[in-house]
Amino acid sequence: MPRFVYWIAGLGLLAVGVALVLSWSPSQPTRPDQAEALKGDPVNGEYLAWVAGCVACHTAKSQNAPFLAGDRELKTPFGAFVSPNITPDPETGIGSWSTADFVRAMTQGVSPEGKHYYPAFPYTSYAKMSDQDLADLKSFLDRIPAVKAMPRDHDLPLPFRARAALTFWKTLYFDDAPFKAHLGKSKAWNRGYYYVTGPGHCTECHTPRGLLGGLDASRHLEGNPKGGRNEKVPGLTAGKGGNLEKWSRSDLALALGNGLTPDGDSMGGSMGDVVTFATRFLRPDDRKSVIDYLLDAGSDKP
Amino acid sequence: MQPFVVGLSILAGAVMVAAPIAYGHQGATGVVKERMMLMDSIGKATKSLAPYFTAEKPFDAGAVATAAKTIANEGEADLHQFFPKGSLDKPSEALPVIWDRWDRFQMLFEEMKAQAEAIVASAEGTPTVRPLHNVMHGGGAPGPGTTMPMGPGMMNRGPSVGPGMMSPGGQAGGPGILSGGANLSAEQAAQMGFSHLTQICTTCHTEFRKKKAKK
Repeated sequence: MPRFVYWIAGLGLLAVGVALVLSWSPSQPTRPDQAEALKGDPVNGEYLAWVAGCVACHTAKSQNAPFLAGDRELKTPFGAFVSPNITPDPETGIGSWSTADFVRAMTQGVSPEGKHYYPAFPYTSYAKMSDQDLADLKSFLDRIPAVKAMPRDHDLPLPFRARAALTFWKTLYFDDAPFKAHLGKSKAWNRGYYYVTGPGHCTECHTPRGLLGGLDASRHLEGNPKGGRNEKVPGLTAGKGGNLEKWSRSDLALALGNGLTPDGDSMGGSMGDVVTFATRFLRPDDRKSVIDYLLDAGSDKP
Repeated sequence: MQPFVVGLSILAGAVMVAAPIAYGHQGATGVVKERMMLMDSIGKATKSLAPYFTAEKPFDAGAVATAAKTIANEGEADLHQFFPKGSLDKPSEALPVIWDRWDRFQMLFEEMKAQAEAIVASAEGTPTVRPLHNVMHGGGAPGPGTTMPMGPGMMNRGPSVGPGMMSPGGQAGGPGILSGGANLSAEQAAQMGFSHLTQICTTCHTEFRKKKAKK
């Protein structure tokens, strides 16, 4: 056989080998099935649907957009993503999903058909949510009105359309370890830490990313000059030189609860949406926990 | 002293005083500058209200009424005058969509005035809560406690399920679906008004003002 055939075969085998080595697999493979056994509390689920940002992304911008039926666009440096319908409609929504399916999506970024999700859906943070919170959220989603609506497709440049390549991205950038509290800190601090890195997923906008969009964990909460929807996203660190260095507790309470900045301005842009659809619904003790954490997050670098 | 030096000093002084007035707000001029000043005035008054609703200062009805009246007065501005079509000269942060959706833009401004007036009424002794209508987009659902169709009587559970009410002495965390404020104290009603008011500010800035982009 001609030489080049051996070369091609060799390269092919190498490629398969690389793919096998680099392809991602979840570190907690039994989580989804274990969660199936939990009884969900839809009241807590409703709370989470707001403060975890589900409503902010999965409800369209128009005046009478149906609740959680998707079709909201998120323009990022990697293209424009459109959120899917997460009402219980069996064909266009997630009505056919079990709790295990839901937990797999939220903590592994994998659909019931085994497809990888783009990390515009922040499973990279939701992986930190507790199984009980996820079961609660699912039980709320089971109870909202089912809406038959098929949102638009994502609009991504060619290189990013290969979903299968996300397996490599996950290997490089997806730390799916569950939440781990800091033993030396108060319960409230840890609740805040849980919210900021888990359901609130603040890190997704407020931490810088590398070229391929992976979060730079070594610069936790240091801001992102080209984050969110192509915006200058400020840092949330409170140490010397940090953005929150001079912020008081009530400054933070007014920011999260009312969208006010310390100089009396009102937030717009993506953070305006975050306040409108998520953080202003934080219960006072949860908001206090977030403030406890943010004003003392320096010691927490993973 | 020589008249020349005196004259020069006066001129220099006049320039130093006049320049910030003429060129404040990053060099804005004309209607762009005027509306930035309008917004500054509203922001300053809003900032002065805030401590009364975060338990930083004890509730002072007089101070609250005064600040809210400032906002209500600014709310009388004729928006067409401040936002003539296409007035997007630098450093304006207005978005062109203002003129595509003028009715909504106008509505939000008028709603700001109405909420400020509700705060005034509350502070002056008549608890008044004006619900937020049509301010939020997206299903119109105002938040937890109202989106669960669990059966009759469950839809308006409000306080026990989520942040539909304030915590005592704390932040008003949620939207109001009450009307009339009948069972609230003046302070509580004013607090709801403050929550609604700031919600409008955030909504308008999100829809009609430029994001902070990398320059």
